[in-house]
Amino acid sequence: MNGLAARTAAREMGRQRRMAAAQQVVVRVTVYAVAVAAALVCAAPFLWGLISAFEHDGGGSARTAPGPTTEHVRLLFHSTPFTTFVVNTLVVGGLVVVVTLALALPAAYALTRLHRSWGTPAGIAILLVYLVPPSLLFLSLSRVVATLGLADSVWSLVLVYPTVTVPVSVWLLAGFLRAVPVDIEEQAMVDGYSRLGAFVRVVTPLVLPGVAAVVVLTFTLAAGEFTYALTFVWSGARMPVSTGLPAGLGNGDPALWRTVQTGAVFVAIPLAVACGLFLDRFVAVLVMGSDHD
Amino acid sequence: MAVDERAGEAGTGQKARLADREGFLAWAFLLPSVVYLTALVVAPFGLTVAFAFSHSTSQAPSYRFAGLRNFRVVFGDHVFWRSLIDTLALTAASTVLVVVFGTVLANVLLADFRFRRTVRTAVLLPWTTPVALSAISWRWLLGSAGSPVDRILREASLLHGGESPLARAPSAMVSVVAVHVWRLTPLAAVIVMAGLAAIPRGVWDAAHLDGAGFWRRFFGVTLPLTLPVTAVAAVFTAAFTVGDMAVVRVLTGGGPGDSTQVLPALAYLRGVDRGDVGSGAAIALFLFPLFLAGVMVVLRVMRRMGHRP
Repeated sequence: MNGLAARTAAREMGRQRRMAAAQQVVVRVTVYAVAVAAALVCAAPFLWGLISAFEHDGGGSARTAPGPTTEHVRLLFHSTPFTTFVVNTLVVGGLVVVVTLALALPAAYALTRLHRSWGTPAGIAILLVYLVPPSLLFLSLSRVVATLGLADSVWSLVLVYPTVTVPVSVWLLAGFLRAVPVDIEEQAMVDGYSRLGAFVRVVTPLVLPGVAAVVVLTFTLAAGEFTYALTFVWSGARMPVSTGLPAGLGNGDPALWRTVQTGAVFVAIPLAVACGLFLDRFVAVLVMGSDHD
Repeated sequence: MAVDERAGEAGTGQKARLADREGFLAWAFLLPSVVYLTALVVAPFGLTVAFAFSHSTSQAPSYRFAGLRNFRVVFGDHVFWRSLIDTLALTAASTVLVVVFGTVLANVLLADFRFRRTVRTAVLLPWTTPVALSAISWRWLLGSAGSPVDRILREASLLHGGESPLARAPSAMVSVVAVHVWRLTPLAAVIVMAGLAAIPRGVWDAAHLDGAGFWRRFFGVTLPLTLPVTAVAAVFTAAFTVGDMAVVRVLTGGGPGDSTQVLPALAYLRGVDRGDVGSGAAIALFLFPLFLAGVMVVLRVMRRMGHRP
């Protein structure tokens, strides 16, 4: 009787173990399947772009010689203002990064360390600005930009883009600052630094990895903005890539289509690689942001 | 405080004192951002409201009050009603799909597997690429004969003749939704990943010991605990879909025949291309209630999470 019960129990346990093992196999297969599918879908337009960038016009049934061609890449760099667009984007992005850090780093420090009763509402209000759609402001801001004499100049973008990048950066930097132990500043102040000195000399170097993440994110946001760039800048030579490349599609010339598409791929890949380096840090900050502290 | 003020009057050592006064520093550190955002977000919003009630055009920029004229013009425009409904439908569809796909993707990206770095870089592409440029890539993938999508749709007999999915009204709208879902799912996944990473491992182990299977754990533990961040992901998705004009402008140009027109693109069309600033502003103002709804959700979630910035 007892032996039978023990054997049944053993069989039951074995069955459960096999089921768990089978379930684990199913989970692993699912993880790989979804991961590969997601990667393919996410990269699909760029993969196809990359393939067609080196293809002759007319695709497989081309009358020209088979094999890849660098004709579209050559056209992109020699016959379109692509390099000008890239330089404009780098200039705007770089300057926006500087302005954003100058505004956001002190603001984030004030919100996390210098406890004031208005700290929480001020922080939330700043984050909510990020949700304001540019479409709500572009008409009035174009008037502001014109009044300041910045119409059709990249300076208009340098002026306006921080309204998009400062809110996110304050939020992210606040997350990074919260991870720095308060003791470090207190020790610095015991050592004779002022509060300001401790922030500049001791705390800022400690959040440099976070600052690097914010630099990448700010640049990505500045390079990706469309509505303001479309409204404020209309001369081809002053456009960033986000409006410059689509403007090249205006005439619908199929030869140019492949060239423009090639340019899009050339911009997309470095940005994704740069952001990929900082993905873990973004996630870490968002985690801290949802912490009950 | 009193001591500080006297030290301030003394002149010498004022700098050091100020550099130590938390109240002063807090203001000095925060004020530039607040002034900046007020000058370039809050004030321009007021100006948008003012334009919506004005006769302002790009040729005649001086301000003349017009009462409700622009709103009457906008309400009488069937393209406006169509794009209002399309904007809402597009946003609702994108948000639901993005949240579902984002949750699945977040769970997968947190798992440990080979080629994880490559997969994660690929998954980031839609989020980090300038939206107008990915719209170019999609137009090339969807609109060019012989592309993989073109071949698959022909194989499935969903496409006939020389047409592309962007040339017909229903499939053009589906394409716009697809591009929004494609570009915002990675962002939602990153936000949900953060929510998942914040759940202590012990909670799962406890549920496991209590005999909860995979699905019970997923629906009974994981989903409720990540609900607040999922709501935040939904709000961001909705905000970035509602406010975006790049996808429609580059992918379909609002067509065929205004069938994919959305409010931001229409506001641009009327306000900039046609120079009727008043009507453009009146159309743009319809985005404001949607913005407010998003703010409401974020505030509620934050209160529930006991959030401190």
